[in-house]
Amino acid sequence: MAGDARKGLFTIPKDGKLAKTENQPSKDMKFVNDLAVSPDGKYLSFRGGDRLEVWDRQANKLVLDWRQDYRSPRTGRFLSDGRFAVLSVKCNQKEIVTSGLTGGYHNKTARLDVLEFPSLRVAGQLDLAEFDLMPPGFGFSPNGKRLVVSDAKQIVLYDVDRAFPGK
Amino acid sequence: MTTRAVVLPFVACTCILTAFAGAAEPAASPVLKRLRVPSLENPEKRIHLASVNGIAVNNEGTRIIADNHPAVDIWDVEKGSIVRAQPAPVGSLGGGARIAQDASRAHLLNDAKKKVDSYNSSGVSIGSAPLIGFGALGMKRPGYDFSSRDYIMGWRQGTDGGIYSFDPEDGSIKNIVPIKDLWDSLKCNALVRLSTGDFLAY
Repeated sequence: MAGDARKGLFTIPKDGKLAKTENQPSKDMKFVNDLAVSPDGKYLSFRGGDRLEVWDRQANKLVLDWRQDYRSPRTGRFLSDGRFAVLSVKCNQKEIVTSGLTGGYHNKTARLDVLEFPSLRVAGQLDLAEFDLMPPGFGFSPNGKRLVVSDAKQIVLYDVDRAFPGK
Repeated sequence: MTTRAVVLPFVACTCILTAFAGAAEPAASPVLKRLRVPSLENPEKRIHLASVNGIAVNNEGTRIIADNHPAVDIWDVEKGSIVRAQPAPVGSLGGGARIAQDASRAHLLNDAKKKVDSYNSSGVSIGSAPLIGFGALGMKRPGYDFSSRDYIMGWRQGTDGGIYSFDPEDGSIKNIVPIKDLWDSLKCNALVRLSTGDFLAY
């Protein structure tokens, strides 16, 4: 929602009366352009700029502040089994979240990490360097068994259990 | 690639193409299928920055719909064929599409007709709804949830702001949650639906 007073996360019930949720995401996240919710509605992922946070909605607790040296998270999504996928690309800054800089992204460096949730154990990483675009498009089937990744030249269909075997 | 049919020689065109399926993958590979995307036709050689703004696959992996802007490609994976709907020419800033997360539907903004054209997973037209106003996101998916329907922030005739739902049967767009202040609909950056029926918006 726009305007400083309205900036933030709002719950909208059927009657359309907005109710603001305080503290989510953190104030370090200046804006949000990607939102994803877990199947049970417990966790909410925010992505803005080079930052990605996942919050426990009810506990009002930050459970993941995704950071890796020389990588920027571009989007986060939950799978139907509750696991969480982060698509990231290589960038020039070692700690881009705290660098005060942005950009310097490298093409053909995309990688998809799938994390168990809420343990955050890595279930697998899929190297997507063969794909052009920053980032390539991707989507999971509703049952979480299939993954599709695409740039403007090719589409690849994956078996999720083989790509991310950790359970 | 062989073009089998071109239905409409217009900016709002729908054509059926066949594409290459890739070579077989090793048995242990997570890759099930590779498909080569046919190039977009660009007879006027306009500047085109490729982007895939959305893509979805069904549970069986037999249908894929990709927003290969400004075209939407509806794939039959087993046949390796696609139906391509392209309401705007390459290089245009218009267009946009909403792809259902189960690859069952695609809703395409058709600026020329001032309509939103809807297609099913076979690439068959199922409806054409009058255009409503959309916020800064346009037709871009505003968030990822587990709802079986598609929602969008919008308004009609400068009023009736709120959350709209795409009808999966005919693509019609209905206001399901009126929101009093139009500003809230206009400036929404992200939107997801919870299993309770409530929405979360940023």
